Amino acid sequence: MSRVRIRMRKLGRYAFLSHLDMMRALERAIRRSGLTLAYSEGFHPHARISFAAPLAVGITSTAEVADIEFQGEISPSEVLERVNSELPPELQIEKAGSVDPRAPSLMSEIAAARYTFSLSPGADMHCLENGLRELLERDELLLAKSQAGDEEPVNVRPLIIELKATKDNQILQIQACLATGAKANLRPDDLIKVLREYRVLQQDISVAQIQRTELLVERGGRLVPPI
Amino acid sequence: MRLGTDLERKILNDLLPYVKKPGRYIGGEHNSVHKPWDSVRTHFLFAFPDVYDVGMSYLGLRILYHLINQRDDALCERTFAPWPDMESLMRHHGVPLYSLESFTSAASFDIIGFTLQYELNYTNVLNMLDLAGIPIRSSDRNETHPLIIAGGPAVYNPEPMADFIDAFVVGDGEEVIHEILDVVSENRRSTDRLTLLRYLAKIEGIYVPRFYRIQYSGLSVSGFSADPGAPERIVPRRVKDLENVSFPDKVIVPLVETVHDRAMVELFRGCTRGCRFCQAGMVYRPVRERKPETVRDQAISQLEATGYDEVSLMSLSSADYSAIEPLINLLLQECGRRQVAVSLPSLRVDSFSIDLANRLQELRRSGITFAPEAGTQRMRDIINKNVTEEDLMEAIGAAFANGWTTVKLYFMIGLPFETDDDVRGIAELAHKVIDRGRQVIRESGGNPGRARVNVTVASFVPKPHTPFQWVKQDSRQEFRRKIDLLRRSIRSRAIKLSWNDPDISLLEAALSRGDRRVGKVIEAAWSSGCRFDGWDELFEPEKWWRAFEACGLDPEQIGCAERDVDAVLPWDHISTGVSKSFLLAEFRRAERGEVTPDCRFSRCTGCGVCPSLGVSTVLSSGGDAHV
Repeated sequence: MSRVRIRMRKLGRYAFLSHLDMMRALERAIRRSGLTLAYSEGFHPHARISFAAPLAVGITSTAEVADIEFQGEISPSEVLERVNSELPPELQIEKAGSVDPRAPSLMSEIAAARYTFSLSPGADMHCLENGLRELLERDELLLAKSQAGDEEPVNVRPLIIELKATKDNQILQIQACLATGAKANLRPDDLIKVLREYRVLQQDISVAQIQRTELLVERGGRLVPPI
Repeated sequence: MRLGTDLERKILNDLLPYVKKPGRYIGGEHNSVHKPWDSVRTHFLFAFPDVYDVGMSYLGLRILYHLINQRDDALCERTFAPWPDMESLMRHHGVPLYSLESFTSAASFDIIGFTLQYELNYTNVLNMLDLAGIPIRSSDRNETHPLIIAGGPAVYNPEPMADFIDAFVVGDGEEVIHEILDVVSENRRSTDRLTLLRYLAKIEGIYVPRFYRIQYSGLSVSGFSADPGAPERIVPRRVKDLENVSFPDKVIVPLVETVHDRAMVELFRGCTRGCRFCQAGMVYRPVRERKPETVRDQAISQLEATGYDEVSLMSLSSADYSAIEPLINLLLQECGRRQVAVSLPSLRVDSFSIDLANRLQELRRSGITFAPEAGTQRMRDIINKNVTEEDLMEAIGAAFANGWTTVKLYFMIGLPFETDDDVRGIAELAHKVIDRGRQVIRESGGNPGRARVNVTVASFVPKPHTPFQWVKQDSRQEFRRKIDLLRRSIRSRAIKLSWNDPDISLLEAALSRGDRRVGKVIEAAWSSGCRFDGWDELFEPEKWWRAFEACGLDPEQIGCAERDVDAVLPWDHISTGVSKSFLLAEFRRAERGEVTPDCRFSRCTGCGVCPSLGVSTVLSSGGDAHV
């Protein structure tokens, strides 16, 4: 048995695949590659593939991290090469490494994720920078969790780790690092709600694209990539 | 006008973020074929008039896609009916119906081929043409529009769709598709549309409705004439030997989950069990089997090319495959070590089938389904379903003994010559099944309280080209009365009953037995917003009944009325190879409660298909079948 950790991209039209679709696509690509997956026991054996943090439909990513268990010994470079030949360019594995099969589950370790929000034309860099700075100076940022308003709003300020404005080829972007995982989690679309609620993003500016760029685990008080 | 990448960008950015299940509309699947547009002469768009998840489960699509793309001079791309949320965004943004491979507008193709699997998809065909910007009526189209053709089981009565389809293709598609492509490739750019259709009408199995003049009197045909050069009677295409046609291995692997998301191999085509209500059992005759070694090789190469973990053994009745045991032995050797499950989609009602299912599905045990079709022996003899109560009880006993705890039973109500005793017989049989199940579970030390029986009753629809094509269909009131009678006859809470909407059954009957006049009803229903009529949540019967009324037609008359056995029926000019005199003789035998054995295991029944189509039964193991 060997456990291989991969980092793959999910770009273009494939952003519209659900988490389950991605699992299936990866499993079938591995089966086609001829590598031998490890399966769970029981009536409905399933391949031992686990993605670190499910991504909402519609968001692209360059940092989908998954652990895959194989029967027997297998080198990460072989996984990368053979599985990539069965996947489209937008779903390529960019990195693969060995993980101790007894290591804790990837999902339990994820603490944060970085996202890039690309804004539609019309936003002003200066306003955006000021807006984000003022936002981060607040102790409390309230997010209404339900549409109906029957739940208490939650303070999501502690879940925002980093927030800044950047510019790429005339396109204004917001770079965000958000708490992610089982313990604390802020979804990227919830951050947009907060930005709108606190008037950092005006109604006439839309978010043209969201891309996840990094998943992070906590090691010795520091956030680092799991691979 | 081809739009290609601009259209793709618009769909991805402006439409898909706002629809349910956007993965249906993106293409990009493994094994989808992307040929440069200008590298071929003829561009074929396979159009499935239902959602992607349904259409991608269809074996015929896999076969034709593969055959057309094997040609150097043609390409085949796919399109499906967009769900209403996607449709409204497409209309709002001016996005036409497009192909999933190259995001090319449907109107840019040379041929659009629809498959008509089910009458309740008809409004979707009109809607897809309209979304493509193509006139829905054949007579309004010109040389700039693609040729619109249609195949599939519903074309055995093409008349209701005759106004909308340029040419129907009747029978097996594997050989005729090449003849169509040859003619279109040679003539599409050099001749006018009418001449091209004349050429196509000369191909055996092709029906070009505009070359026929049909008059009706009541429900019967009173006058019929074919233009010179168009055949009086359409002879269906039938592949003589399936070993001679290629079968796809590199099938498209969908990214979103589909209804039948697995590899499929076809054991045989046709069925001669002779159930008198069953259209498929009449129109695909005779039985033509593939060799078990061929099936095994096809299964393995398909599994390797797709990465699927399940392969389904397809046919109309897979336990009837004469080499089923050798095949399963071959497959189990290969599949066990590959973590592949083998599934048998259609089980016969007998313990032999349970043994097979038991060997195949050891690890995946959910419900098991049987179709006794009728509740009493008298009724089963009338419909020629050669199953006895003893067979059923034996099968049920074997199923429960092997660990299944839920059994699904399929029945029909409204069958010809049915009495209330036959309806109550369904409930009685279900009670016997639950009793037997509990007994078997108790004997094997389990908890008898776990036994469950799910009874599904479908409303019988008298289909064209069957021995019951002349009989009446029950009215909606009568169906409701019988369902109520059945509900009141079920006493056990371990038995769950479900049934079809009688409105859907009436519409299905009116569309499948209709004539050319029904076309304007379909158009009116579509104009009033009908789509996806086979989907309970979208079916709007009132719109349909208003459409019939507006056209001066009565759905109950067309769908339910008994037909005169001496009359010319609206579908009589389409042959299935089975003679009308055989169908009538079978109807008379049904009246007398006489059964007719399967010609695979007994003598020829004289249905006429072998002499009229020049075919014969092909059994892979020389007639050594399990009866």
